Amino acid sequence: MTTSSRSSSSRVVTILLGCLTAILGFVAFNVVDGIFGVTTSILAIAACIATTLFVYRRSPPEEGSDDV
Amino acid sequence: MSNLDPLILARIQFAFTVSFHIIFPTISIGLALFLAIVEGLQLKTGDPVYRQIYRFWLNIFAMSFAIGVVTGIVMAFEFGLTFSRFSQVAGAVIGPLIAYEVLSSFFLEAGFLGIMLFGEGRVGPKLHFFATCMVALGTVLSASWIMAANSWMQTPDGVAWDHGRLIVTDWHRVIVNPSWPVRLPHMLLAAYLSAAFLVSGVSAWYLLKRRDVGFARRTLSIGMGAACILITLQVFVGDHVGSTMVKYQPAKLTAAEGWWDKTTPSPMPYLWIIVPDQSGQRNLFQMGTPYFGSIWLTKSLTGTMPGLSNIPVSDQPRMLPVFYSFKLMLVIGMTMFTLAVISLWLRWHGRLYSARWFLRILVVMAPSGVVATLGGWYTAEIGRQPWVINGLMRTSEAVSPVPASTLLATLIAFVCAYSVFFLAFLIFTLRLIRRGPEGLPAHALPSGSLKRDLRPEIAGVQPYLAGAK
Amino acid sequence: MDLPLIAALFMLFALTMYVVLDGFDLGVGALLLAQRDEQVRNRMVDAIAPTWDGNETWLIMAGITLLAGFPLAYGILLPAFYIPIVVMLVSLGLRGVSFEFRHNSTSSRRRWDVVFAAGSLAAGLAQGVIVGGLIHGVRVDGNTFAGSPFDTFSPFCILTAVTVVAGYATLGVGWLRLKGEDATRAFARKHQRWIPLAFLGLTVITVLIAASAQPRLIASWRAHRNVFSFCLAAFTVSAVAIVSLAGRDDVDDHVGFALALAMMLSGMMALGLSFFPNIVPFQITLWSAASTSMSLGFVLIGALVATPVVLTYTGFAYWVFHGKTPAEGWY
Repeated sequence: MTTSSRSSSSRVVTILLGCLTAILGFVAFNVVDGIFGVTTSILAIAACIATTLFVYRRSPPEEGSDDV
Repeated sequence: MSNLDPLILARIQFAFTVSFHIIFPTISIGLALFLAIVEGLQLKTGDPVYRQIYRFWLNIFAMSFAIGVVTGIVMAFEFGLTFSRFSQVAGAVIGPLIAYEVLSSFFLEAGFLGIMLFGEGRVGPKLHFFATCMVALGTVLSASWIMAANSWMQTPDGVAWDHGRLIVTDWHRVIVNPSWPVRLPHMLLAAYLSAAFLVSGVSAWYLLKRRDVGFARRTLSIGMGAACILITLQVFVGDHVGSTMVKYQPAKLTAAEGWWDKTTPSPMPYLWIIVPDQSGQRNLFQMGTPYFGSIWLTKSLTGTMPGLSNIPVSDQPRMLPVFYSFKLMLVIGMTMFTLAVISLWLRWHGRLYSARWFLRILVVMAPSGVVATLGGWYTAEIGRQPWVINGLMRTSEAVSPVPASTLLATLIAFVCAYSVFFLAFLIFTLRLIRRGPEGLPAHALPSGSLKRDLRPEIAGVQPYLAGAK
Repeated sequence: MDLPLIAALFMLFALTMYVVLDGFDLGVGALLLAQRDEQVRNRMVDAIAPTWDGNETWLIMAGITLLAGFPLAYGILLPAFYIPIVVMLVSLGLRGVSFEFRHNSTSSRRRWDVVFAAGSLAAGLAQGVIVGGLIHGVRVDGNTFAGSPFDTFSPFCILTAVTVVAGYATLGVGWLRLKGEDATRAFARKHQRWIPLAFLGLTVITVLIAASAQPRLIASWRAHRNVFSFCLAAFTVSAVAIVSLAGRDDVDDHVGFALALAMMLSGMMALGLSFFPNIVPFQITLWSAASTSMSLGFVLIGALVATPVVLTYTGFAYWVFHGKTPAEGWY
């Protein structure tokens, strides 16, 4: 297994933190237009899509470590 | 048999046939777009791996489409079979909407499906791509019309009573009824997310098995990339569906959130687990996250909302199924959101294709989109009860004059036939997945000497294609 | 403008399209039972695989036109024919999924072929039972069906069921002769010598028994004497022509199917005429069951715009797969 060099406990912490951020993010997304208005929320969504596209352009599927 | 209630049997039969049906359109709406994108990419880049992806998923798409068609024909007649009084009262409203669905979408899909499935040697690649796009367009049009019909039943508009029937006064208001503009994108995004997680889950399985790596990487890349964008939009649209419910169907919303109180406490927790007591109009047990209810539902720290007991008991839906089907959808949605965030992180660090724990989660999540869609539909349909057309006609007034014993016999027939469909679909799909994609044609594998002539993305994929052997 | 009449004609058009198009699909499906060679069975299924889905869509079109245009009749007829309709739907379902499942299986292909053939046969029989029930008439009280779901079953409906299947088989052999080569074509030729004749004989018996059992029919036939005799003559001549031409090898392969089409079209026209002007046989006329002009107009505008387009690309889809089915299949 070459999944990661980290120890498993720190990985668990990372996952939990990731989940917490994601859930807060989910709620934030869900209420964003109710509090900040539609324009802000559309901008936020556009920013997220842009982030996704940026990450995907930067690391095409052929790159990244192989699990062999 | 006389103690059987025809209403309950008719509802079970309709619920069973429609729940079973919706699984397959959900998959085929999503896969149709996926196939169109993949074929478009193939035309643009000429990369043979896209053809491999297309051929592989086309087979699974064809099976789910066929089951969707034959179970869909059942739905076209089920209105009259089980709820004939509903058809008589509302046929002049619902019928034309479905007629437009048939005219604009079913024929389009059916006409081009043959070319899509069998036409590769008979039409050029561009025309074949056009056929795929037409099928994908057909699925969207179909969803639009059927969502117009169903949304009209949730938030009826543009009609009037006339001698015990509903007649249309304004078609525009019937089609663009208050909940359609939000429920249509909600359903489409759900279908696309279902396909995204389905293809991601299957390619994650290949990556875990270390086979067909080039194929799997590219599929996972498209699937999770789409999932990241789609889930963001879905969370946003989902909230708008909720706001529409607050305004037009408060009973459904409060049942989905689990509150009975005339006015909920302030600040309001967000409930995750409840044991509702419908006759006592209270929860025997409830557990939630403090403050979240106010923030989420009222967009303020201390906001409150009126609970279900504000609605007359005879007009209330059952809280238990509405609450838990909604929570099922919500939890899956949040899991998808979490996974999307993690996938971006992993991709940034170049570990998306090698983090085995993440790939294992994706395999488990493969059917999650379909399950969430079902949860959402149960929320929508059970939450509308006791109405079949919200506020206008009760479900109990809509049932057909067919004896309970006949309904029971046909229910059993449907269950048997559909079990065969489902088992065969699962067996053949799993077999196709285990068999894996067809190998690339020999001439498509770039040889070393050709490498510099090929575009970088094609040349770059070569080591993984070789590794896939 | 008489919108209910136009809507009824559109419904009859959709139903005729269904009977003609899915008719040959179902006929080919039922004929699988008579074919032992799996290779030939593959060719037979290939002959209908690219277009069956569109053919079946006409059934939905007819059903939904009834719902949209004549909700009152839809709400009476569907409960009245509850059992044969459910049998038809389940059979069509089994038939439809068998297309895909037989393609994806090797060891169990034979079993799926049986399901395919049985589904096709049962769907045809169920549709025939409905025709028998319609001729028999439907019991109505006010706006609701007042009979039992078993009313439709009578010895007469067995006759109509077999007649409908014979009609579908006539179309089916015609289509196979058109699309098939070698063994498939020979198989079609062999059966073309007797199936149309059986269809003709069964139809004549059905007409005679129907006339004696249902006096209302004679009244309709008398009212439209000329059209009805024309239909009957066209029907008979086509049947005899198929049988006498089928054995000859120098006759074009299209002729059998074209004549089978003529038989079906004249049969459908006569059937439609027999019930006119009722939409719930012999109880409710199409005018008293019709929706408001707001709904009828909306549907008919859509139909008017969409039908030519639909027919164009349906024709295109047929054209893409024109000619003999390739021996190695479409895949």
